[in-house]
Amino acid sequence: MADNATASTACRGRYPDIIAGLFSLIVPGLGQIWQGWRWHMPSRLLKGIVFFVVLHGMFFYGQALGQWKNVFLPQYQQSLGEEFRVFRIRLPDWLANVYWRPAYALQFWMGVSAWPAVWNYCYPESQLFANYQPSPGAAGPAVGRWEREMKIKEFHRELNRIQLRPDMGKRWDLGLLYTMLAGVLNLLVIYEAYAGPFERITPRDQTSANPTGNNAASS
Amino acid sequence: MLNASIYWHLPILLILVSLVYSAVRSDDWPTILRSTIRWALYMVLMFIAPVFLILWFLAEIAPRWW
Repeated sequence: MADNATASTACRGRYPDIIAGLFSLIVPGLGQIWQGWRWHMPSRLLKGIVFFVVLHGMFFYGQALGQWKNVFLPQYQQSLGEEFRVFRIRLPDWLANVYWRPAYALQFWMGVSAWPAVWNYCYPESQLFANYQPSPGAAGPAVGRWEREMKIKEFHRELNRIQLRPDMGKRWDLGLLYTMLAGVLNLLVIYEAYAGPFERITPRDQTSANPTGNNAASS
Repeated sequence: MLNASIYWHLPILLILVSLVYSAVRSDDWPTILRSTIRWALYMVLMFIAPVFLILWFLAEIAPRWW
């Protein structure tokens, strides 16, 4: 207990750690791995590796359950031909598209694994991630509304075919759940890398662990 | 694995969520593992078991009454 208190005290001054938070935003667990390596804390290093393996496992397994078609940011709004307004405030197209596909608002937080969807949304003519997280309806500015609608319908016909397959059952929903939960859990991981473990030992706990009162917290 | 019954995916999900949630609360691994088991049991007993009982009641018991 006293060792934990000492270790916790030693870490207190190192938070908030913005760089580690950014690292965990880009790659889940990377912030904790970096902190563990930098501060010589094997437990934190191991924790980062566990976050990395668990969250990527959940995210990619969820995508596999959904036949690699359940993570995307569509260009629905561009095909509608009318402005999207909430309380008379016009939303930008990207925000309206997130409104039409709210699952991506959670999946986004998985970091680089989920960001090819944004790349495909912004650069529809790029072939860098052509078959990974394609954006339905995404097309260059020269493409007309009708052609964009056809692309969206074709994408959704494919999704319907996948979901109606006899062997699919509820796997589509389960895959979506896995990918969304991975993103949500990474929000916790990002904040943990930034601010430290949520239940760090308070000064009062340290006093009870070290009744002499000569603890490092007072220094 | 992909073809396993969907019901096998749920306990795995439960344990993974408990593990990540417990790991963000502490740096001490024995504490993390104890907390993982506690949270998993808590979610089973306080959430999944009551939902199962309600659904079982609605599917098996309630139809006999009317």
